[in-house]
Amino acid sequence: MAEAQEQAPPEQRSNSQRTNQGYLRAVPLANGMLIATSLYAFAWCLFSILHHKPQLYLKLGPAAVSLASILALRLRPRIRIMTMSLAIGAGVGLYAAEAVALALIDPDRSFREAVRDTAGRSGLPYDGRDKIDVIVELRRRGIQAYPPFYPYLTLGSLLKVDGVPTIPLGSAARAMTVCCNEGGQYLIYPTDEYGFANPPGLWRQTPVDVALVGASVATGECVPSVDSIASQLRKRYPKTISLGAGGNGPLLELASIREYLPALKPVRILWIFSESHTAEYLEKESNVPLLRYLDDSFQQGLFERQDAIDRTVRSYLEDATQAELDSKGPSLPTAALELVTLKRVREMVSGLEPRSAVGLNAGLYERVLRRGRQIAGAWGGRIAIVYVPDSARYPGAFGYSPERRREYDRTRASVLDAARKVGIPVIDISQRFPDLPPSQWAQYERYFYPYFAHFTPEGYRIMDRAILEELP
Amino acid sequence: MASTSFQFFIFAFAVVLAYNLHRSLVWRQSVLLAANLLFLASFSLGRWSSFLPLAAFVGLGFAGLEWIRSNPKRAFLPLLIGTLAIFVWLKKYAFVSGSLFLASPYVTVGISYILFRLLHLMIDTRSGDLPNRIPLISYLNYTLNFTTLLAGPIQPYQEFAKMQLDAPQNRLNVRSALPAIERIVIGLFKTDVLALLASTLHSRSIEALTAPGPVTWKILDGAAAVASYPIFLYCNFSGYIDIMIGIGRLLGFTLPENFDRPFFSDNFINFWSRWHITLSNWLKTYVYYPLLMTLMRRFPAPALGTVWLGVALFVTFFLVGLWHGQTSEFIFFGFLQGFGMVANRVYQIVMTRRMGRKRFESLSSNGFYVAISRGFTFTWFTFTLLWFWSNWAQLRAIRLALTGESLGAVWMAIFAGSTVLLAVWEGLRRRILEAQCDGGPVVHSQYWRAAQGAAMAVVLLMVTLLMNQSAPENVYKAF
Repeated sequence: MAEAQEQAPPEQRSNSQRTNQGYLRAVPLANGMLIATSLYAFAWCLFSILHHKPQLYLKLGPAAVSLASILALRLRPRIRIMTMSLAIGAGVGLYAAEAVALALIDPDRSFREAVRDTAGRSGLPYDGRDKIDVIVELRRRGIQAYPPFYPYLTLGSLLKVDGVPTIPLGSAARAMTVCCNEGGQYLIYPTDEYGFANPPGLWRQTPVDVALVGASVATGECVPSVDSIASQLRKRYPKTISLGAGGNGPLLELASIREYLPALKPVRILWIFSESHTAEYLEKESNVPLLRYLDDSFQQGLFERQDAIDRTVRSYLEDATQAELDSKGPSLPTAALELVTLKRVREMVSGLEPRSAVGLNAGLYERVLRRGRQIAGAWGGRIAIVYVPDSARYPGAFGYSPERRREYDRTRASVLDAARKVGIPVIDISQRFPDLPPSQWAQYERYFYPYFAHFTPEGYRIMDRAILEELP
Repeated sequence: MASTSFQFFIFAFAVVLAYNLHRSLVWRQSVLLAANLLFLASFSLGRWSSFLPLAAFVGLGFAGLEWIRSNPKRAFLPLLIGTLAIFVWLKKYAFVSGSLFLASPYVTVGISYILFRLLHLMIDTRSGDLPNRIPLISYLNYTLNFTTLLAGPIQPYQEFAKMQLDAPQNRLNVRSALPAIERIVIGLFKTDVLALLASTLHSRSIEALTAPGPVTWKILDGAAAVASYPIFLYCNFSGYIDIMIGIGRLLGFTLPENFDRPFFSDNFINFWSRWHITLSNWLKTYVYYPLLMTLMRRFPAPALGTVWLGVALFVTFFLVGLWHGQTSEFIFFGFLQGFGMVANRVYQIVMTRRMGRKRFESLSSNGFYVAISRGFTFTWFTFTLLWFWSNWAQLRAIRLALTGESLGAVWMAIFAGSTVLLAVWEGLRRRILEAQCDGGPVVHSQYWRAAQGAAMAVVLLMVTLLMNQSAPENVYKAF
């Protein structure tokens, strides 16, 4: 076109030049866009600095964009408009990507599909219902059913039991808990008189043989009840009681020991440390009033206040169930806000960052162990730590990375060291799963699901055997 | 090597670089041949012998051309039948006894499109439209061209040969590279984003349709499941063609267009001149016209003219359907294509006779009529595709999921939805094109295109790299 323009007569050429000047109308718009971009990026940079964002790129990136936008104002008009076009296009693209992510990404769905495939491979029927549908179905049959109670979820805003802010540790008593489905079928278990996953009547048979404290693994998530640690221990030690609840960290577990074990006086206490999350949970718990359990005198009196606590927990779970029944995805304003703030795109970008590992606060953990040992010592109870590995430590198993392995090795060393200092034996399950050669990596699926989940029944069995063999 | 894979783009980039290193014909032909063979080798089944049947097919084709050139009358028919028979045998059509097939697995990638090129060469050689002997390197580059091997477009050899001869004049520069890259980005956006979205909607709707649920939802799920497939197919296929046309341009080739906004066709005959254009043209040239001429010559009664037109149309588009697959579903798919074409032609004839040409032409240009016709054409094509993407068992499952009334409601929903959406889309498009700047539509300006390209590139990066979603497989690769 440029060649044709040069060859055209002067009159036509000037006309043509005039027509090609139409783009100049966009120059003020381009200037405005560049200034606005510069200000926005500068504000972002300031925000990152003032909020002490650890990532350097969150400060340098916006700063560079801000500076580049200002410098772009000195470019020739055509290039300036082209820069603006590219910036607008990129912005539109980000919002389009957000919309695509909204349509495509459904973590629940991919998890359900993975579970369905696993169930198919194991020859098990797959229960594709949502947890809430199972609860509704059980209630229709006259069974009191609830979702699981996670004490840690109440830590941000404590429940009030008879007007007193309280951290309950057990779920609704004498009810059915519809827990989770990781292998094809839901784990549904009855709760005991104090809301834990035990058969009824054990609380009257003191002293109990074994008490189990821990998080989800202590409740047997998410394998058939027969494969849970407590069920297997009961074969040899019938009076085995579990005080586990999903999401518990060492301080909530210490709370369980403090609140309930003096009444049960167990001879043996198995205190589970889950490699994948206990360190992180301890970090979170140390920011809430749970540290008071390190004091000799502190106790909430949960055992004595069971009836009132049960009413509160039932009401809390009922509200949660109703909210689930009423929920039809995020509300329109929430969805709009998520879209405007590019929630999914931001999540995807932050997903690229290497996950900063939460190292075990060994000092605090040691103090927690020491306090637990002191409490148990009052009736002569013996504590043993059960170190439960994560699949991600084994090359070839789900989630493995060398960094993760190094992180877990550090955590394990800290736990062993803390236990040695306090004088508590450790049943190290991580040594029970072998590091398999690549040709046998498929075998890991016998113990760990190929997605984010707990152990398979076979994995639990290995753990059960190890505990029974090493139980002091 | 999938045409939207990272490896393919690395490969294509390397070929473009090597090809443009030197402008001599020999160099460029040699680079292209090496690229074609490397690309083919990427489909290896682990043994070189797995390429033998395909190599024999291509080799026999070349020898056959020589034979036709030396003895056109005697060689043509046996070679034509033999080539078709070998094709049917290698493609393992369901009506051929399984005991006749080769036991060990072999590569058949692109064989359908190789067949089209081979038949075109044979027919044109016999008719004298290809007077000169085709050099082996040109023959191999034409039949195995990596930019057209998997799913076309089907380019006449004459155009390809001209392109080859023009090759030394082509120089790759920013001016020619940018539109080519833009075309590749558009193609990738179609295959990796739009086709992925449509395919996700399709599979989720099918899943929801066959699960228990209220009738209203079933109608919506049914409509979404059925109507999303043509959109997926279009994005999947035309996106692939865009990518190949873009890569072709970087190599100085001008590959023919294969799509021309087909869903905006206001009748089925028009649809097939805008969907898989090169296949339609091929079939018109080598099946429809020869068959029509033969029938008219054999049975020249003027009253039969319309009948022969219908027969030729039916046979041609029945073959289109049949070519897509080896099972009985595709026979029915072909029947519906042929039936649709004939019914459309009959309708045009009847309406012209009843209303007169001028009044029918006037009706055909009426906006409301055009919108309804577009919706009907889309709905019919969507209906025929049921036998394309599902088998008899799946069709039964869909039939069981939808009762008689809801089945009708599904088709009404598709018809009404497509009529309205296509009309709104076309209206918007017209409005957008009316916005002018610098003597042309704003949307054709470099700034608009830069913004559009940037937006598509960002979405593409997000979808492929961050969401880790892979593009659905190229459907036409299987044919």
